[in-house]
Amino acid sequence: MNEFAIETEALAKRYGEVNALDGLTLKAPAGSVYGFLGRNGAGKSTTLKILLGLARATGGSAKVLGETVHPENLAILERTAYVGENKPLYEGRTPAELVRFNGGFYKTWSDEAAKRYSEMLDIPMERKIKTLSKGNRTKVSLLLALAQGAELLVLDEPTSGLDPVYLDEILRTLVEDHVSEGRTVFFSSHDLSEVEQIAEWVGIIDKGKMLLEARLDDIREHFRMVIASGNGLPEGGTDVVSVRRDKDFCHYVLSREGAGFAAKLEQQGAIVLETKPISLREVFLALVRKEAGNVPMEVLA
Amino acid sequence: MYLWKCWLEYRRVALILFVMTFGSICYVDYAVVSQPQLVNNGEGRTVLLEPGLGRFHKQEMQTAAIEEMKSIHCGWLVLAGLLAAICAGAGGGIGREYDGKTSELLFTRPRSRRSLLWMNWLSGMLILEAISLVPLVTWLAFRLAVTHSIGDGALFQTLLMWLPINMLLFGISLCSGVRLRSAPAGTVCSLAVIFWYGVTVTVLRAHFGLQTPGWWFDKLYGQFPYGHSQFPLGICSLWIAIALLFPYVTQKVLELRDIA
Repeated sequence: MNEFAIETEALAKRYGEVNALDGLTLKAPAGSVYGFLGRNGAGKSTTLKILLGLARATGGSAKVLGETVHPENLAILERTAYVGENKPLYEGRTPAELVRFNGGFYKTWSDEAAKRYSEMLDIPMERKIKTLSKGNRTKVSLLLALAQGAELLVLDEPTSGLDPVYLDEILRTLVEDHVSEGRTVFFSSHDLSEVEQIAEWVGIIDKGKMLLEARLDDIREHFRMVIASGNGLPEGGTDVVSVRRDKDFCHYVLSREGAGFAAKLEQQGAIVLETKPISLREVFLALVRKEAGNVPMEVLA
Repeated sequence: MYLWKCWLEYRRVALILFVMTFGSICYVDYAVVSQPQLVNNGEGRTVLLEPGLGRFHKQEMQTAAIEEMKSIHCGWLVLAGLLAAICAGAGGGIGREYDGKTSELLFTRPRSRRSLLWMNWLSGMLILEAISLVPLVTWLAFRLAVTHSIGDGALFQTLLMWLPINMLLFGISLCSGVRLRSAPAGTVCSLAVIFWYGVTVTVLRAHFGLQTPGWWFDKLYGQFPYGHSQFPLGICSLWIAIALLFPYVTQKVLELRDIA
C-alpha cells in the first residue's frame, strides 16, 4: 500500500496568462481525512480536476493511489469516487436510474449500500433530478460516491446545500464507513468547522501554492500566535508561518516554539503583548489574508 | 452502461421519428393509391392508373404502379435518414453532456473517452438506421401483400447508398457538437452543410451552367431509384471512410482537451 493516497510535486496549471496552480506540492496520507482549504479561486477545484484526469497539468507531476495522473488512467477512476463542485447530474433521470447507471461502471459498487444511504438521507429516488432541491441533489451526488466502495473519495465542497442534520449524518458516515476501513477522504471546503470536525490533515492553498500542510492536531497543540510591538521586528523565522503588520503591532503565526520565539523577541527589545494558541480559522485567515506576508511551508509533521 | 443511457436519451426522439415516418408513409401511400394518376410507364407511354389496389394487378398498369410506389418509398427513405441523422446529433450524446454540464460526471467514470465517444456514435447510428429501415420495411410489406414478391432490392440498395451520407451528417453533428460544447450547435452545423451544398450546387448549375464534380451525390440524384448493376461499392466505401473521420477527429478532440 502506498504511504500517500495523493501526492503532487510542483504541480502547475496555466489558463492563458493565469496561473491557476503555481508549483503545488501536497501529500495526503493514505487512510486519512484531508481537508483542502483555500479561498475562492485559490486552485482547489483545478487541483481536484487534474487529479481526476479532467484537466491536464502544465507542469509538475501527480500521483493518485500510486498511479501517475493523466486523462486516460482508468485505474485511478476505478478506485476513486468524485463529487464535483457543481454536483453535475442528469436532469432528466431519477436518482434510481442514476444508481443503476453508476453501478454498472464499478466492480466495487454496492446496491445494498446505495439503498442504505438513500434511506439514511431520505432521497426521493423516483423523482426526476430536475425537480430536486439543491440539498437533495447534493445528497444524490454523495450517494453515488459513497456506494461506489472506492479507496479514495475526492469531494469538492461535498456538503454545500445540506442542512445541519444531514451534514452531520454525512460527516459521520464518511468517518465511520470509509476512514475506519482504511479509505482516504480528500475534500475541499470553505466550512472550517466542518473540516475541524473530521479532518486529520489540512492543506491550505492560495494563488495555486501550498501555504501550509499539517496535521490538525499539530495545529491545535503547537501553533501559536505571538503579537508583538517594537522596532526592527523580524519579517520571518524558522517556525514563522505568517507575519501580518497592523499599525504598531506584528502578528506572528508560529508552527512551534511560540514561547521561545516570544522570548527571543523580548531579548531584542520588543514588547510581546500576547502568546496564545490559535484555531484553524485563525491560521487560515492569517495565511490567506491579502495583507499577510506568507511564508510558503513544507510539510510540517 | 453508457449505451443504456444513450438509449434513454434517444428513445423519445426515436419514437417521434418512427411515428412520423411510418404515419406519413401510410398517409402518402393511401393518398396516391386512392386517386387516379397519369404516369410514364418507362417505355415512353403514358398510363392512367386507376384508383385502388386494382392497379397493381392489371397487366398494363402493374409495372408503372409499382415503380411509382417504389419512388415514393425511396424518397421517404432518404428523407427519414437525413432527418434521423440530424436528430441523432441533437438528441443525445457527448455534445449534450456539455449542454447539461454533466461532462465532468461522465468523464470521471472508469471508461476511456474513446470508448464513450464510439458508444455514443454507435447508439446514434443504430437509431438512425432503425428509422431509415421504416420506409424499407413498409415497402417490403406493401409489396409482399400486393404482389406476393419482394421485388428487385432497389430500396435496400438505396438504404446502403445513403448510409454514408447519413453517417457523414451524424458525424458532422457529433463532431461540431463536441467541438463547440453544445449538441444544438452541432445540429446547426450539419444543417448548414446540407444548406451550403444545396445552394452551391444549385447556383453553379442553374445560374452559371457549371458542372460541379459528381462525386457521390450525382449517383444518388441521377439514378433514383437504383438498379442492381449500378451500386458503386468503391465510392461508397470511400464515403464511409470520410464519414468515419468525423467521429475519429471528435475522439482526438476529446482526448486532448480539458473537460471542465
